[in-house]
Amino acid sequence: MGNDSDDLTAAMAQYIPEPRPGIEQRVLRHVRTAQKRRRRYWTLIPVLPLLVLLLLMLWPRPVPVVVRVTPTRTLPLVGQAVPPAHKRHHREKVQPFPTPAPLTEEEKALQALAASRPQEAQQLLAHEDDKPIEIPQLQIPPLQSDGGR
Amino acid sequence: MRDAARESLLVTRFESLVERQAKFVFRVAYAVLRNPEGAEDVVQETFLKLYRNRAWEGMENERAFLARVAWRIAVERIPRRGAELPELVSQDANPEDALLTSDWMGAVHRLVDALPEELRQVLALSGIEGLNSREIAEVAGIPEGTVRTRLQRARQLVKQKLESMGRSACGK
Repeated sequence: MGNDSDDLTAAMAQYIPEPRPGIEQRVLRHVRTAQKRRRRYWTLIPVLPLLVLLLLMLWPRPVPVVVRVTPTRTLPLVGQAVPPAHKRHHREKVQPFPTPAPLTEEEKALQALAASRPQEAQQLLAHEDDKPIEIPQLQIPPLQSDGGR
Repeated sequence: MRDAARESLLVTRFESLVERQAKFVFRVAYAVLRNPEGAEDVVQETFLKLYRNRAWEGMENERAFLARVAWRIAVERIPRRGAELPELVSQDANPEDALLTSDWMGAVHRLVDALPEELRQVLALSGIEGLNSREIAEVAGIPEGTVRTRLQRARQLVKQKLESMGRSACGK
């Protein structure tokens, strides 16, 4: 049994095993693959701004939503604060002017006359309009004094 | 055109370097990790790193330079790969039984595995051909004197253990 320095040195020379055969080829293949992958990424850099631009152009823009509000009569919710009377008055819908109203009997008769005899109706109305307005003479009595009381 | 020729020349030189030194780098990595798969990963990472930063073009002492790079990469992998380290004590036979069955070399390797890590690494590097104390000091980043002390201590411990095992083996 050799346990001197030479034997120990010889044993240490075999302490580390040999790598699997073909380590050189595997290393070179790994380096080439890594370099190719890296080169591929570099070629993407000039293309990247174009891609971003294209993406922005194709990106769907938000369409403005038109909301149609139909007036509905809503009842106040239970517990909801009711505004005071003077404020409520302002909120009531104002009727448009002139207020649509059914024709009166006279208006209907005039309408029928205008349809059947338009000239007579025109003369009648013109006569009515051209009639001078008679204003009675004003008489202002003098003020009566009570004698300096 | 000139650039392409230069690039081609560099690739050829690099391939030649890999052919020459891949096994050496593997040994350095194995001395740290004691794991063939991990050591091969270190070899690949070492050469890829060298190729990319082109530091290998101007290196003076090729082996020392490669050993230093591989050592650093391997040491960085120790905490992450700690769980993958092989058992320090063999399950099938202890050093004494190995000695009895004339497996003296295996017994020495198991004793080396059982050494403190700082002593084991220096002793393992000393087993790699071409690495002297000064180069080991450069690789491990410690003073040359410390390398010598650790080597002496490691050898002493292994010898003592072998002697005691030899006596007990003769006594059986």
